[in-house]
Amino acid sequence: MSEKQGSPPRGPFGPGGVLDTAVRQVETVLLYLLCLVLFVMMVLIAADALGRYSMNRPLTFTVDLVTMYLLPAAMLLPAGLVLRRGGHIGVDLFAMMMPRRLYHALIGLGLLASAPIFWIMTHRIALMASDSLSQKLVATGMVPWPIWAEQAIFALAMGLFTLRALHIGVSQLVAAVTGDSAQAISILPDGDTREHSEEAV
Amino acid sequence: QDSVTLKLATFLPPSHYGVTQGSQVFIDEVEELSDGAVEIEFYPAEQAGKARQLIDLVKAGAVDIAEIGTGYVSSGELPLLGVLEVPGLVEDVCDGTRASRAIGEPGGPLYESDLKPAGLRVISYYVYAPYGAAASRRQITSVEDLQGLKMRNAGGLMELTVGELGAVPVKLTSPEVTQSLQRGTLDAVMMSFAAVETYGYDEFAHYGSTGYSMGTPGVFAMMSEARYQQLPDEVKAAVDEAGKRAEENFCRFSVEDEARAIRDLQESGRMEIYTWSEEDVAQLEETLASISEDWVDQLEARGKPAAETLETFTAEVNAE
Amino acid sequence: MEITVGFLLLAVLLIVGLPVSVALALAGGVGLYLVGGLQLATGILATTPLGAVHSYEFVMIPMFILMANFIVASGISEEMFDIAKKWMGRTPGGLAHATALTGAAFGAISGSSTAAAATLASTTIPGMVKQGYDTRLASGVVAISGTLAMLIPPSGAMIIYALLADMSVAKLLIAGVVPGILVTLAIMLTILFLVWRNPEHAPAAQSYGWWEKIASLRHAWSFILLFSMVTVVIYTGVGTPTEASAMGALGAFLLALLRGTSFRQFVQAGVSTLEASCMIAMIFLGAQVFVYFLTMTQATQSLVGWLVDSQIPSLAILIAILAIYLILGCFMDLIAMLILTVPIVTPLMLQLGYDPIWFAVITIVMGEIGVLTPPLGINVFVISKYTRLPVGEVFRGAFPHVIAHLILVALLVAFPELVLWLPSTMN
Ligand code: NA
Ligand code: NA
Repeated sequence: MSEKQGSPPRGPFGPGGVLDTAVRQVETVLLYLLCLVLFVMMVLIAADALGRYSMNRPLTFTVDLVTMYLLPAAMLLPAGLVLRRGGHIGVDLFAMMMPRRLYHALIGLGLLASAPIFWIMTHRIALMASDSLSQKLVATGMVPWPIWAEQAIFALAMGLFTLRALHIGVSQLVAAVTGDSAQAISILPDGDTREHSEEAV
Repeated sequence: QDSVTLKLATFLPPSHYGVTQGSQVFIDEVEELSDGAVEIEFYPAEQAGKARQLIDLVKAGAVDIAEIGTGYVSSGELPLLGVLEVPGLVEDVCDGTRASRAIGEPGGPLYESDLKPAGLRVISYYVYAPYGAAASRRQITSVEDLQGLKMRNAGGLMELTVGELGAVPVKLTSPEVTQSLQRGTLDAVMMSFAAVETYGYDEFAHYGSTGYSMGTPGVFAMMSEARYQQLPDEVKAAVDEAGKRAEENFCRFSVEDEARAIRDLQESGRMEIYTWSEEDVAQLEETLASISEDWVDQLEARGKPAAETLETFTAEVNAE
Repeated sequence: MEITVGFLLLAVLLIVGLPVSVALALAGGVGLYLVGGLQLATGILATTPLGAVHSYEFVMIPMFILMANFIVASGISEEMFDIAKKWMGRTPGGLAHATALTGAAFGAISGSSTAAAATLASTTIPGMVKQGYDTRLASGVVAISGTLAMLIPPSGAMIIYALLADMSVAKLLIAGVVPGILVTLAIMLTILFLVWRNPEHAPAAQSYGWWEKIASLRHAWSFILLFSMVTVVIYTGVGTPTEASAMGALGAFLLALLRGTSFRQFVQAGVSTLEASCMIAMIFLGAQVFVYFLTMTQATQSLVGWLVDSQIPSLAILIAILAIYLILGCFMDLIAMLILTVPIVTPLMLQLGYDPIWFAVITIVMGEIGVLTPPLGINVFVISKYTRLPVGEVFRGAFPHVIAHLILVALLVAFPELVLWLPSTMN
């Protein structure tokens, strides 16, 4: 949706490449599922409130269900996809004034350098989740919510983000090396690097 | 002599009596006992991290000592701490403090089974006044009066206790409680009366009950075992002793403060507080017996010495 | 030493154009490693994601965004503009005033100034252009009117501020009402001034009879319903802001359903809500790492302590901070700016004896200026994209409003009651 029409995909890492397309399909399914999660959250919280105010019947489990699973899922699972779609804001002004190849190289290096950070998060939280699973940890209370599932959501979210950071980082480096910007997956809104700057500056 | 700087973190705000009567006492004592060899860098009010994260931060070595709300970990990493939430155990805070130390010191079941594997040791056991019930709408003079009340509680075993009593457990953050009591979307809170008074819930909750513990919250100051072992012996001794003095000061203060709060609330006519009769207590014990039984069964099934923990704890509470 | 490296690295990563969230996490991670080694760094990295969104109140962010997206999908904003247009009639600059009023009304049900600017641009600019309005005047009014959304409750920026500073979300949201009305008035006064200077920039519009004016109000019920569901509920305390957000979203959903919004549009509203919320959550996550690094170096405490002990008068510090906000606003997104500054500035303002709610509102008003100033003014970009007007034109059109806004800030500094009176009447 964001790449320029008429420039056919060339590399395996670039926009529309094999990797991009495959990950994109998984992410799209995920996104539709999360729309449902959003809707369920809205209905549950409203029903909990209305139930408490009008019928003296709150949905007691709502707070736990929302804070443990639904909210983290809706807010963090799309992180990788949002990176792909250029939705994570940044200061793009100076970047737009840089020579293209330098820009690709710096973004590529930055993303690759950040990958270990997000990988540590993924790895450590995944370990916690597997510990919780083997110890069968559950929240004490009316509903024994499993704790591993909560941690697994965070691990999955950070994992997906790490993969996208690596993938996009590599594509940017490819663009820097070959000098072909079409090889780079943009992290700017609308995949557009130049339009604003030419008019603004 | 080299001086040691220890980072101490708590989620409590600096004005909270948990800090003025506990953490601050520890800071002063440890600096004095070590002749200034120990210096404490203090991070109150979640400055060093959110309440539920503190345990991970102390394990990571980000802070040296963290005051950890037992409710945050009794559902997860340190399940044996759930013993504090078992109803009917602790009436006197100092008894609860002593009993906590009995299970938490090396050799005790909490230490051996929960703390040691997590690489933690407890420096101070700050046990808080037991939860009563402060109701807004209805006077409480019998156990049946609790039925159907929408009751805010701290979660964990207390949520089960509320359910077992026939009341409706509600989860709310503290700023939401006042409003909810006022609107009648909440009938009661399960809290100590000192807390009821501090938060001003007595404005809408005019009736209360006391004389039977619905569970006890705790804030334990924990240190990573590895960090502790790095300390010179004199410093270890100073930390241990300061920890004890702080918790003793805190428990004495809490006992008096809770009694004062109950007295003040009643004498000023702000609340009518009913003391459970012997029959009521027997009835509560019978109704709530399954809470501790289920808790023990579930943890034993996971290989945790819950029976021994409960036994040691109960014995120590009733000692003297 | 470590603190310098950390900040320098952050600055470089931001300038290079990495997403703010990634830059914060990376600079914070490296900084933590420098301060306490690998064990500390990995230990904190392992816990930060879990703490990033772990609060029930966070629900407000996706819910209010969802509500605004449903509203946009339902097309109510066109009707709001129609009502405002009819009531303003032949007033000089009538359509521009109508745009400001529509901005205020839309702001009362949407929390995002960018979303508001986009919606306003598509609903109001075609009408003004058809009427022969000067394009600078028209686009400037739209750019500034969009910012009302973050002052008049609900406001995403205010919620984020309150979550960061641990303040009452309800009180902060309500504190935006009076300043929101004042900004609306300031916009209208600025329009009058501009039209007085160049009457040909705003040709007179059609006038409407009283009957038509009153009849137009029959479309207002949906707006009033949603507005009350949110603002009145929060003000009276009938419900918590969290509950109000979910009920507001549900109300907007039902309304959109009633007005025949398609399934596709609903999914689109959901998808853009997920994207916007995730962007915010990731900045929170990155900021947690970086702020932890700040805490470990005790940079904040030292800076605050030094400023408080210095003999510099409080007012001078306040003005300096507002100037910094003005400069940061030129380069930075408001949310990123809040996340970076609130943890440092809030304790400072408290120590200097300023009211935190008042200061939060002032900060948000400064943030409104930030979305209008070059080189990075997100509202201006959005409007330029919708209207195909050059970015520079829109910046110039917004400039008189920036001046008016600064005067208003001075007024709010001089009379804090303007901000604090309404929340003080809440119980
Ligand atoms: Na708004
Ligand atoms: Na700007």
